[in-house]
Amino acid sequence: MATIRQPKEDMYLKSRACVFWFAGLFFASLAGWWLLTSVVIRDFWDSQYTMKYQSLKACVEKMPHHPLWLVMGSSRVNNGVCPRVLAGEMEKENAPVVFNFGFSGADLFRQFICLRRIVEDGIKPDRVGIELVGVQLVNTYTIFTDEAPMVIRARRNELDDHRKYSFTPGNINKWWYEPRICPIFKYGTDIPFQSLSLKFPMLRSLGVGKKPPYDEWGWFVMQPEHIPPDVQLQLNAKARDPFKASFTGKFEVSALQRGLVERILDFCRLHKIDVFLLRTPESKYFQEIYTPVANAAIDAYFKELQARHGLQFIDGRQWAGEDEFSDSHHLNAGGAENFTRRLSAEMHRNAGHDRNEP
Amino acid sequence: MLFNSTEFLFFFAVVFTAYWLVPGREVRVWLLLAASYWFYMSWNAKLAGVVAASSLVDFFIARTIEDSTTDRRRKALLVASIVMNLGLLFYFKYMNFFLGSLHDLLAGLGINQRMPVLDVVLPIGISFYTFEAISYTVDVYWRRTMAERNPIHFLLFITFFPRMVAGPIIRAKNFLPQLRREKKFSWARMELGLQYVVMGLFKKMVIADRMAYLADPVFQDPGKYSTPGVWVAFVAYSLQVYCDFSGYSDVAIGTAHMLGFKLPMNFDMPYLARNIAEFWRRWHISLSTWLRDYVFISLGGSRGSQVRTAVTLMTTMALCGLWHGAKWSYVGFGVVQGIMMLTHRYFNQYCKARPGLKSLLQTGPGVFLRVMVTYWTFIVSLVIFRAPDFTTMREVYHRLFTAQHGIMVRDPVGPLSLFLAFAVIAISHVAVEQGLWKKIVARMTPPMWGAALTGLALLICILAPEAQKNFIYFQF
Repeated sequence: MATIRQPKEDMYLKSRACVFWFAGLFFASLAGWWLLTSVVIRDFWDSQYTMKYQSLKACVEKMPHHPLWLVMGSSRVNNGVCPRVLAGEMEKENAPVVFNFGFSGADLFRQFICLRRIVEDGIKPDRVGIELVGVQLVNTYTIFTDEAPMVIRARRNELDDHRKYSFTPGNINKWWYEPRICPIFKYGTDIPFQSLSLKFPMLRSLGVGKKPPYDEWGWFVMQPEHIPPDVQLQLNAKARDPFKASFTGKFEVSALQRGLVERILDFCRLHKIDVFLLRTPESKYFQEIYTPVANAAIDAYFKELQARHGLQFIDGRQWAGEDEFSDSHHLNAGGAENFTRRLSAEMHRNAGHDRNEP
Repeated sequence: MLFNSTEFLFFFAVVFTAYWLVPGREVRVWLLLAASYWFYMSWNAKLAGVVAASSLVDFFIARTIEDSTTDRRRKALLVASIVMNLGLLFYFKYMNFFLGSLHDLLAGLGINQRMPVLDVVLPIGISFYTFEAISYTVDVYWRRTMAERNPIHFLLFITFFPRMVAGPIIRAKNFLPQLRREKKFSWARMELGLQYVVMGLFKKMVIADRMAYLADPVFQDPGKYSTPGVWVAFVAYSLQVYCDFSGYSDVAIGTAHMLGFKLPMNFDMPYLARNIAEFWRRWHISLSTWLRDYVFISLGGSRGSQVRTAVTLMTTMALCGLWHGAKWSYVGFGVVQGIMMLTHRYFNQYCKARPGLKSLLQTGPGVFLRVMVTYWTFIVSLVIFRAPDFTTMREVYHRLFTAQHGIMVRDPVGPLSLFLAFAVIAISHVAVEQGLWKKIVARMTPPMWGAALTGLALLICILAPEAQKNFIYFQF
């Protein structure tokens, strides 16, 4: 079959049009992505926060005249504080509502940032429990400022704080801007889908995103499970060993973490939020990592904080039996229920019950 | 600076803009040379000096070869150039391997002689530019090409950044004339370059890196995985190695096009090859043609007796294996390729005397069978190439061909990733081979093309895995 040679001018125009179409569509897509992730869905990269915040908001709206007590912290709080066992008490008139605002991996920095965000977003708690445990007081414990998948969760106005507490401040801008400029899912394939389904719930019926794993009080729902003893030993070691190295040498409470504690306390003072400090349960096996020197330094620091700020300090380290852990420092479902009841009793001591107005 | 990094994106954007803005051919050559050295120095500044020094020596040797009148002097200079280039390659890449093998050999003879371990950093791309430099001086010696008179042009030939670290291996006679030509900005080249870059990155970041999730854990510890798990990894690796290297070559060819240069094609749908000889004409074409022209033919090619040809072929393929790295497993891989090539040669001769069998193999099912046999035998031999040691290789083969219990390998994205990757590669191979691709491209309007490329670019962003992986061929 004879072929007709395309005139050169046509080819030139077609190629040029193709390049322009590509450039136009590609940059339009990027602009759309930026709009979606920065304007339409504010905490697009922090679906973890959005999920908890939505539950908290619903909880406050349901019980508007009750004082709000937030318990913040890491996965130890996330798994271990189960306010639903207090549901009956919380329904009484003017009884405080306890809400679990713990996050997996949340260090002091994340607790501070989330507390500030909650206030910024219009909910002002009356009391806040800040989880402060030995392993958080070492100098290297700054997950949320030195790991890309954590930094991307920040809001723009939080970047200065990220830089301030980071060991690698030069990376902050790259980690934060990159996924906003480009639709990069590498920091967590599920996050974008989760955020979309939180903003547009009808998408969940199409299989986009998962049902939030938290109950209406923010507890990370766990089912009772039987773990074989050999697997349990492995889980215990796996949960403990990453922290071991921090306590082998000379130990002193990190200046960086001290600074963060002071910022949290200053923030709460400014907003008239009552604060208590919480040490969550640890198994005996886990407690072995603390050397006597480390234990003495940590105890001294807590005493100093109590003396200086007159804080309530709840030391729950020994409150759980060895069979109440899912690994060496996370409570299982039964352990969480028992711990929460005792924690509630402790929290009620020394506490006022008035509702803060936002 | 990897092609699949943001740093390279910015680097290329700056070089591209500056290149087309500055006037004058020579200024552009200088600019490209500076950019190429900057690119190389982003890995190791000191080794860039080694590259420059050896390139300049080659430049002057080639000029002297051209100017020399006596054959003896020309030959001596050629030998000097080859010895210097292979000496550098040997020192940086093979010295520790040689000392280690010598130690093992002496230990086997009962002599316990300690060997020093040299603390050397392997210059990136040394295997590629060494071969380019050798082919240049050999071509000048044989008067196939003129010696370059401009050192800046020659330095750029050796270090041209799109292909500096992992090829394609270029020939002076193809590249140097392009430097002498006045370059005009061309939208057609831009479009072509863009297609190559987007498709290359798609192959690398979406398919190869995703397949690495399936292949890497199994080749690290095959004992943990069940037979189906090892098969998944085995097929995944065949896709990974192809997409990784051909993806790199595509980006290299694409970026060169955008700067107005044409680089040779390095892959031509290799998994549709109907025999192993054809496979090596489609796979890493720039290396296999180099080995054909400068090793196989120099050693006598297929002009001698059958035995002589077999020895030449085996030597060439063993060298091809050794080129990939300083390990006996690479030599073994080359030897296996040589055996496969010889088997093919003998089978071909066997078929010549049997026209019925020959015509049967030319039918549709016959061709399909040959393609399948070639693909599967090649990927079975890839285990030797990929396994880090002999024990792992044996374990992988054992688990591939005997039913073993163990865990299944998993891709965090989902179980369909291998199937999808396989389908994409198979469909694209067939579409190009059958000429469908050209027809599709011809019918597509600019908005459709733009949208298709945008879709691919967005998929690259979305599906790129968390860990940025190096290109496999960088180590060679």
